[in-house]
Amino acid sequence: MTMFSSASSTDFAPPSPEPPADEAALVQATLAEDPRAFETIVHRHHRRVFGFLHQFTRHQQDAEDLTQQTFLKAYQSLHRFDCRRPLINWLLTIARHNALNHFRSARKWEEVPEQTASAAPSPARSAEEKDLSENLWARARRLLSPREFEILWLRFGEELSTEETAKIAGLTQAHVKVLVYRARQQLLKGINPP
Amino acid sequence: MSTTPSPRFVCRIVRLSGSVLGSAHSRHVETCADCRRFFRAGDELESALRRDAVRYAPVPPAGIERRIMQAIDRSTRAAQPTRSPRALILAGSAVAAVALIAFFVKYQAIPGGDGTEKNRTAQVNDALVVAKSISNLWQNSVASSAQTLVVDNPLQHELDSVYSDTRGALNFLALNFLPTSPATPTLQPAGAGAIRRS
Repeated sequence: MTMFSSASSTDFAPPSPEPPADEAALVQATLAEDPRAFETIVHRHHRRVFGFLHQFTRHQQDAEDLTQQTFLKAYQSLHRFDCRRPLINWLLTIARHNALNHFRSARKWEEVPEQTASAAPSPARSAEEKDLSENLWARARRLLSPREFEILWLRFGEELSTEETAKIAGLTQAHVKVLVYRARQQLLKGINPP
Repeated sequence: MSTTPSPRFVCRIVRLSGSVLGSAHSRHVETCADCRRFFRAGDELESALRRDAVRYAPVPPAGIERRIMQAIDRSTRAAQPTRSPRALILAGSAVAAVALIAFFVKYQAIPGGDGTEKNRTAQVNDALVVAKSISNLWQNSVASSAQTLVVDNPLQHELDSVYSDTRGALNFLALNFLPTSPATPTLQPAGAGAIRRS
């Protein structure tokens, strides 16, 4: 498995699965109409929400619009948020519903072409393609079904537990485990063909 | 017929079940090179997926936080209840009319008013002060929020015209219907009467 030889588990910092202690306080302050509190929430989580939606849509502008909608809906229904749960999980659930609704009446999300697609590849485009060919997630997108890709992303891209992944995707934990197992096998087979 | 499962079948069970089998799982992995390779490859894949998720994470466009907060501000403002101009005009007119009626009821009911010209003037002035204060109150409480939204507020023009109409109506009523004192005889030049009589 040569492609993993350069991989080091120390060159990235996975996000913490535990909700920060002040998160509940921020939510309470937002409900008490403190304008700075929700700004802090947006500042803290917009990158992950945007990243998740970008994986879903593969389109910068769609991802941005959906990120806005996600935070707007979160703001409007913040009183329903359970402070014992990490806020990011709740935001990702809203983001996922938004994305599904967004594409329900239009094309299916797996059919959406990448924003960067063009007929004649430029040098920059070639370099980008080279990067993408080295990016495991780009390979995973080509090799896996949308459902498997989504579950794999939630599990390892967002660093969520099996239970959290199941809650967000609306599946049982057993189903998530099976999907992760299949996705891993599929990916390993695709990367290292026999 | 042998009851011992084939090694391949055992490996499949161990791989599918993960660590559910506990010590039996780890015992098998220690002795099976294929399974060791399988689990190591899986671990490396997970680690590489985690690394690439961070390394190739899409960068949000500049100013996205500001745009999110603006969208929230817009929606919050749009959700606030607004009053139509017609409703504001009706409310202002109703307040003025009620004040006017209350004023007349109060002053008509005062027994033993001396009815001098000075008192009547004071009453009219009082009425104007009351109308003006109601106008100011309405302007400060109800119309001020509208003024912040509309620079040249048509409601204020409407209110001014209501006030001037009220003032005109009060003057008219005071002149014609308030009780008057007996007219003091005006001195006429003697010469003039003499001329007329003659």
